[in-house]
Amino acid sequence: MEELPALLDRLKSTVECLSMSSRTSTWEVCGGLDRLHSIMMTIFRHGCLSLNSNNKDAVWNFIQGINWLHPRIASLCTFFENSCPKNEHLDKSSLWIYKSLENHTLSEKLGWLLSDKDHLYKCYKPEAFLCQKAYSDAALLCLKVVELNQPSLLLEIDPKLYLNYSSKNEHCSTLPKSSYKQTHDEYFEQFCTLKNPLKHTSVQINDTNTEHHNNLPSCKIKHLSLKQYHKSWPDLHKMLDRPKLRRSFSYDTFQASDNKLDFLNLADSDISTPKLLDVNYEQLLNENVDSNKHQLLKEKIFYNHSNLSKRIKRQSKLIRLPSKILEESDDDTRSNISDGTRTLIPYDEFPPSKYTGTPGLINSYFPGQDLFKFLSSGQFVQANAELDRENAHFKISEAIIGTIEQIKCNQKLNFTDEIIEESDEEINRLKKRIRCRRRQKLEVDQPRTTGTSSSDCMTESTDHTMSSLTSSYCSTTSSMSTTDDMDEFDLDNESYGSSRFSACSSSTSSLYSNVDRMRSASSCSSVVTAESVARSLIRQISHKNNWPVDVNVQWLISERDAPQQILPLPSSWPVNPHEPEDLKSSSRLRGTNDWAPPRPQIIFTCHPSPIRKNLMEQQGYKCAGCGTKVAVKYASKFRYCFYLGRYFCTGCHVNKTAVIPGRIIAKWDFSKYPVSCFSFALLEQMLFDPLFNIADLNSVLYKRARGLDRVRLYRLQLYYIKDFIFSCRYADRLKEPLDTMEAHIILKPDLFSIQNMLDVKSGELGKKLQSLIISCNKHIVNCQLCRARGFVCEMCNKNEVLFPWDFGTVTRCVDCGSCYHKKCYHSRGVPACPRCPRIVAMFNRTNNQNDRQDSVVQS
Amino acid sequence: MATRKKVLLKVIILGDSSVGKTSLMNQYVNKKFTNQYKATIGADFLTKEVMVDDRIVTMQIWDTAGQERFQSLGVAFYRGADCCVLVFDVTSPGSFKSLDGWRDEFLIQASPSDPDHFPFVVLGNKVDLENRAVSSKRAQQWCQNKNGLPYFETSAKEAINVEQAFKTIARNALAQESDVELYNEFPDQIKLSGGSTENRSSGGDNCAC
Repeated sequence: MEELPALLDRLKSTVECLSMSSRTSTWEVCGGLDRLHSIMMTIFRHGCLSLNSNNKDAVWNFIQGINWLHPRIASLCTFFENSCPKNEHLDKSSLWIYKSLENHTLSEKLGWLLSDKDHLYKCYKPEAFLCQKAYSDAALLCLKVVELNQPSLLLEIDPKLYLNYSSKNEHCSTLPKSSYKQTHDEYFEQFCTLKNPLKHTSVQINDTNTEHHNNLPSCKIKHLSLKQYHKSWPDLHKMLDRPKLRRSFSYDTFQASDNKLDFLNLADSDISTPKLLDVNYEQLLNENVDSNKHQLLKEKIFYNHSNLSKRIKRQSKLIRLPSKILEESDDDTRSNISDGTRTLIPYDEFPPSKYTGTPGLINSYFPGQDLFKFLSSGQFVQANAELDRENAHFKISEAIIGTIEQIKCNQKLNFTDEIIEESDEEINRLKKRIRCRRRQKLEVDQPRTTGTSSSDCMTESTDHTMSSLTSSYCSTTSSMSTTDDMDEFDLDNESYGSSRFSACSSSTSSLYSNVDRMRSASSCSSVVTAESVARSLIRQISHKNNWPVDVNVQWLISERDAPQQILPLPSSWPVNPHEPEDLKSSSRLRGTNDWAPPRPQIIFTCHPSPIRKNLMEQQGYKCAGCGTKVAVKYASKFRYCFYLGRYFCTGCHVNKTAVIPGRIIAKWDFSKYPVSCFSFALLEQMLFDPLFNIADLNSVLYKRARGLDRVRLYRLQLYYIKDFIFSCRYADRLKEPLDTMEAHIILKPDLFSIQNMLDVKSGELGKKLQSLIISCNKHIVNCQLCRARGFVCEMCNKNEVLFPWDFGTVTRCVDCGSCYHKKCYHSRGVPACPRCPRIVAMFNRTNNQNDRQDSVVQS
Repeated sequence: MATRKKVLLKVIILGDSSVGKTSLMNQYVNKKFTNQYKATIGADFLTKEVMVDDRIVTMQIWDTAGQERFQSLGVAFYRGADCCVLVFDVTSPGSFKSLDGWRDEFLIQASPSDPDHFPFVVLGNKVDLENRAVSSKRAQQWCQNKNGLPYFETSAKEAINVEQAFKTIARNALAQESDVELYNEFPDQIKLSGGSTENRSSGGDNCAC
């Protein structure tokens, strides 16, 4: 039997392959469906509970659960069940999975099947793949990727789940694991620490066959060894001294010296001139490995970006890539261009600090990042916390000020330059011509932009404005990039350059229009954000000034002053499946070295009574809410938040009071305590969320709080009663009040929300439940059907109907659900439940029978 | 004694899931058949008035859930049954083999006064299908071993033998019913009542403390 990580890894890589190639033929003709089917079959069979090896039938038993879990879906599958010939009985489950995969319903069905834990554990061993919530969820996610064609969903699978396996079983094991990892890391650090990231360096992606993707380049990355890499340094630099030299290496040399890293070194040494660095893997893929010449152009290293990011995804524990890049690659694969060449990805997408291995640091801004991209990257789209929004204003105004300062500075410099150069008439004329050309170009772009410039700072809701905004941005970048770099190109080169940049901007435009589409969808009600104001402001300036491009923006506050890595960010966070995925992964918590904004935590425990001096020292005399520093002598002015257990300034803590869940749970203490504004809002938000499992958190509380225990018992009773009421055709009147109850009240008797506990305290919940139980009971004892569905005690055989919620006199077997008189049950020895062994025996007989029948058929 | 009274016959249909219990009952009572499969939850009954030997009897036919999963619902309705119908699928050997289990289970839960002579009727359903796996002979042999239970090969879909089978079921049930009044046997002494809930809950309280 395969290990769980191995299974998941197989599933995931298959799904990756499927989603990487956008062609439908992969799915149907090339066997994508078959492969997915075989993996899903293995997963369904994994750990399937059957007393002999007749797994298929056991799987079918499990699948049949859909019939009663969700008859509507089940009816869909009965269609095929009836249409398929009966002699395929043994492969029913296999066929079922196949059909479900084919019509893209497996994830839904499996979701329903997994939702019933009882049924699941009846069919599978606890260690089975499907019984492991993490794995089954991941499998569901994989299925959804295929069904919805959203490869980026794969990012949500916790790499830990399959990483164990993949690091154990890499295809390539020529190097010891550790060195490989190290190299990999090193490689990326190199890649990223280009001190002056090249403006126009791009990575070209080859749209090659997915299967090829899997092998070649990634293997080579693995072959890299750190030592070799360092050895190759001096030679490379020597070579690089000869400029504009076309070099070609045989593939062998290439591998031996690991020139694959060339482009890093190239980048380092050629910082002054912008270059395109590409590794041409296309040829490698097309020609034989051993005999091929690999062409390494000085300016062009084609690099298989999508593959890279794929590897990285797999290794994401080791190297953290900003998800932007990953998403981008996914995006790219979806918007495949048929001619085989791929979009250009500017180096700016790889800012240095992103790779330093901080977990969860995704999508936050970094110095050196393009301001415009920063603003339109969708990071700000979803303003969930007021705090974030406020901080964004600071950051953005800072960015704008920095930019404007720089523009001013540049202008002055240019001015002095021109004065000096004016003496030369020839040069002046040339310059004029260049300027003329620039203006013409700008004029071509302008009509598109001017129409909306005034309005879009106020409204961003219409698609039209958004798209024009995007396009205007793109055109500005393209024109600006061109103008900025004109000095490096002669006039003949200009056309080449601009076409390149327009390619660049068109690729980014597709990216942004995507983001913006999301944005316009979600921001119908949004107010004027700092980002939108900043964008329109900058655009106003950008027409008149020589706008500094991309990375030249110098941030007033450097990364060092406000390092983002040290912030305590969660490594994972809940994801709303209905959200467009571009918005999902962004977490925008900000802070500095010694202060971070409060996070929305659920705190179950009480804080020890605060000692102001110690706690304030611990906080560095800063407000936990806004980071404002306070002089030691005024520390007494700060207010204590009983929820977060921190001191806040009087701005962040206005002495609002709230019940503290931790205190309720620990001491059944419902008094209100002063809390910070943040906590107050948070507590209000979670008021109705069933977050507190009293049995787990403090089961002693049941003994201490009578009302709570009574409510728990009521809920437990209702748990059993609901099955009778909902399946009774005479009890329609009672179904409604049960339905209107919060789901957890009946299904999870130990789970409470704050409001629930308040209701328990006031006695309201108890009363409500009690009256519900009384009316249900009244029905059940008078209903022929409900009575018939009761139990009889087979130990004493009295003609008395027992109901499982009659806790005083009835005991229920946890395994088979049979009910007995308490007295009868406890007076009996082992096995306590007489019915359980009968059920097992019956199951055994049926299975043996099947086996014998099979062997007869075979012989 | 009960000859001139209106008689209610309680018939229980048992068997593995998807052997066609509900279909048989529907075919018999409503003369309808559907290919759609919908698992029965818990148990439910239909009634039908029939003439048995010049007597009008009301058959209360209890259709049950074949799956073992409906644990929260019990089988108190076994009590007071007049006849038990064991159904298997002739294309599914497993469902045939389960008959022993169903029979034992019924006898234990229903605890009839004379288990050895309690009227069972065995139906091999789905004979319209081609891929038959349980031979007629084998089924008959099994019935013979159990004191010669009546055996019918039926098809709920094609309405083959359904009428005859239920006629026999009714006749055997009536014979069993003889002088026992059904309603007396069915438990009507149920202690639960609205008012008692409170006491019971407080009892639970005491336990927990």
